[in-house]
Amino acid sequence: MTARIFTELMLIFSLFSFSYAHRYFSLKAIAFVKALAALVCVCSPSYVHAHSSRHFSLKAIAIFLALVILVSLCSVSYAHGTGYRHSSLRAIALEFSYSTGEAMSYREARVYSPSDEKFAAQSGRTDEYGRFAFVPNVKGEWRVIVRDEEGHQCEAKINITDEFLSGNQNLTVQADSVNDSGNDSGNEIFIRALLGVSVIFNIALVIRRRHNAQQ
Amino acid sequence: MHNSEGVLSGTALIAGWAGSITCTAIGLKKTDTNKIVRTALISSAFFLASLVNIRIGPSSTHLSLLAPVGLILGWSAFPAMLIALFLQAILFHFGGLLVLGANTFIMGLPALIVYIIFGKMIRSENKIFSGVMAFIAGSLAIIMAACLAGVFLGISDRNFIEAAKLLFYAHIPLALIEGAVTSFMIMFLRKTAPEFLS
Repeated sequence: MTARIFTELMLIFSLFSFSYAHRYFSLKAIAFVKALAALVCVCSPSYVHAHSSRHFSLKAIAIFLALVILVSLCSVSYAHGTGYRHSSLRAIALEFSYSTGEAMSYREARVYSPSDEKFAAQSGRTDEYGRFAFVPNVKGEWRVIVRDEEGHQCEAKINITDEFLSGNQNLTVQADSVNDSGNDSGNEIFIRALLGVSVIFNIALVIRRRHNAQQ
Repeated sequence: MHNSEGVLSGTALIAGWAGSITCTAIGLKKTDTNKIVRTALISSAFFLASLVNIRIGPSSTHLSLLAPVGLILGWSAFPAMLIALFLQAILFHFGGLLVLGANTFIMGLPALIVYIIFGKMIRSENKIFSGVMAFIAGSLAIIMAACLAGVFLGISDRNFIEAAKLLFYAHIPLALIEGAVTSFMIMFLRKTAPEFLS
């Protein structure tokens, strides 16, 4: 009897918790788990009742445990809220621009920390004025790479010291080197464009000569 | 408009290549060898148009001249575009070699459709009507290409559907610019070199 009441309470509790699960799981997955939980909850009391009227069988305990885990999972997900607080950490703000002075606005920016040079620690876009800010948390050389769709790339290297991180050093951190390593300078684009047009006309010339030769 | 390498799925790439190879083969068959220099000239214009950047809000796009290529070359637009896109891919890294088939199909089909629909209309005696039709053709070609690019993205991954919608909206200003450029080009050719539209 105790087992039946306990199981039914679990059923109500689990179904109640699942009503929030749609925020975190797909509807199909929830429907499947709900059906499974209901089936288990309905069947297990009669199983317990038939096999052991005084003690919980191992299977029944396992089922209850599974349900408890499922329910607690949903509850944990529900409790996963958001919040914010003001950070006292010092940020480094950089401004990126082309050699013409035009700001590299809304361009892709990636920040590489000294501890991992392959995978970006942070990524995002510059703002309208080509500005990008990040918060370093370890000392060493940080790299910020901003690139546009045309292949222009600007890399800034910033050396972060312990004094800067502790906030004692009141210096203006500047980019050590800013390189415009865009591989398409004006002249190169012109030469490539010329090459392309030349190739197209040469193809046309070959086709025409062949045609004339055939005639 | 150029799809980048690695974005499209295998199915979309195969579909793109199948479509572009078929249409290019037909285009080559229909190309008049005596007019090959004209084809080369338009192909060069299409190749160079990608270097003309147009700033739209936070992003920038470039001219594509889909409608003028289609209206002047007809079926020959496919081989002309295939060569131009190939050169753009290897010289300017626009698009890519694997995705070349899909890109050719995305840009070639709208060019061909506007040729079929507007080909006769832009040769009309009425100049204003011809100009308006050229404007509509230019805009429609870009809209169709954006839709087609969206279809290819949608085939590749359902998650790209949202990106495809954004792509479509981003191309609306370009469609208007292309419409104006097409209208101007057709009017200019009618005056100075009507044989181009013959």
